[in-house]
Amino acid sequence: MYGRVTLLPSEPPRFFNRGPSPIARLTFFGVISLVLMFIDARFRTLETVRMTIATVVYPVQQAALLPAQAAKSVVELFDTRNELREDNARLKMQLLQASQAQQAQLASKLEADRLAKLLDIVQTSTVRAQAAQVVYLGRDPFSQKAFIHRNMTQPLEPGSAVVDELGLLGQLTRVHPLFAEITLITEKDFAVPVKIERTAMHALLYGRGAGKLPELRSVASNADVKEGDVLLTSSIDGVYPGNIRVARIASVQRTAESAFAVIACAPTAAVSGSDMVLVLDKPVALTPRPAPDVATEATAKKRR
Amino acid sequence: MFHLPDSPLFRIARPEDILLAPKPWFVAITLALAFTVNLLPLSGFALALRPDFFALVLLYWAIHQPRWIGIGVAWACGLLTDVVEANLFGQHALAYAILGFAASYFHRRVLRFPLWQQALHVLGLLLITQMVVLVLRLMSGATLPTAAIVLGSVSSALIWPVVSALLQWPQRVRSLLD
Repeated sequence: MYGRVTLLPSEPPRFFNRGPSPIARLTFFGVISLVLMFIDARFRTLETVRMTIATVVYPVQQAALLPAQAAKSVVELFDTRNELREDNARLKMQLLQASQAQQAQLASKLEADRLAKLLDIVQTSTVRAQAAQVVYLGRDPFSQKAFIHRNMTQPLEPGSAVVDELGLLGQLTRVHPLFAEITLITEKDFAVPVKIERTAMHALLYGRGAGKLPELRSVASNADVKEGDVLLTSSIDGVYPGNIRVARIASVQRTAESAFAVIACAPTAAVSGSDMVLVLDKPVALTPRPAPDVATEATAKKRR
Repeated sequence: MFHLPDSPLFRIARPEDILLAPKPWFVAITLALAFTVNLLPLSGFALALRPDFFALVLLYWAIHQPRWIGIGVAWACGLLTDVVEANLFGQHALAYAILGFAASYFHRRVLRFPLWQQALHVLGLLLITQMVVLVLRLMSGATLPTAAIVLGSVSSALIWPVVSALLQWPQRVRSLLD
């Protein structure tokens, strides 16, 4: 009888086999993370993956909001009739004032339209606004975000301006099927082109991150800027419609060493406390920049 | 340090005690629950003080069940966190993967200590996790946040004994009944 040759197992039995070593696994996942971070930061091609995961997780997020909503409705239950009546009276008063102001504005708009027609200026159309509810603020201590609820049918577009009743809140940066993400104007290096209401001087307002006031950068020390000046969007960017309140100048420091003033500005909108917001459509696209005149450019080069 | 009350609820098994394995669904549900609790709409100081329940429960299972919850699962959980916090893809994934690795490296050692000393280990591991996120954020251009962000790790470490006792409770009860 010839013996059957059995091969000894070359690796430990399955029971002891734990796959790759922890350090190999850590390296593998670490490299994937770094690649993901790189792709996300540079190319923004992972948005569909992000959107899919975010949509799947959204019900869980909604569930997490329930305790707060329940607490709120209990508090509302105890709102006295008196408080409601006071609220009602105050709101009616505000409505009255607002409609008064609107009528005055309508009249002046008619006037302006007529003049514009005379001068053959392209008409500025009124922007459409969609109301939305802020469901929660971002939890990341490094960034300034807020999230609004969205109906599937609501045509929101990334890049649209978001305002509350007091002023500019930020910009829509991501639109998911069920919610949308607002980057607030206090986010670090978030720039808004503004003009000072009093002097119509243009400048850029930069956010500086959590707990710090945004600042106007690159404004000369001798510029006419005062504490209390109101900043409006300047509409030269094609992103924000013009003349939305953005911030009020909180302090101006002029130092001898620097050619620029240090100007801190307090946002007028309730950046971390708004409940209802309006999403404004992007203004009509600006006419494209005219093609550079080849001849003049060539001569300019020659001169240089 | 503090002593936990001497009731079966708070007594945690010593490493030489042999417990029945936890049910896989229990592990999954506790992870999902911790994830949900992390999503509570807090802001300001309450948010800074909130323990990172997700990381804590992940760390618990990575220490107690390293065969199930390892580096890969931790990485996926981190990715989930990145999505809900709407920040750069992969930063929490990397941090949690490192957490998972540290847990797999330390799990035999950590369990030999009493709970409050385990909590100190946990504090160290969570701080490392936070530092990883911090470094990645600073590299991607964020501002340096206030030192208050470490409060989350401290409070997480403080509730570690309670979390461990609660998460082990079903196993202890089943082992007692057997």
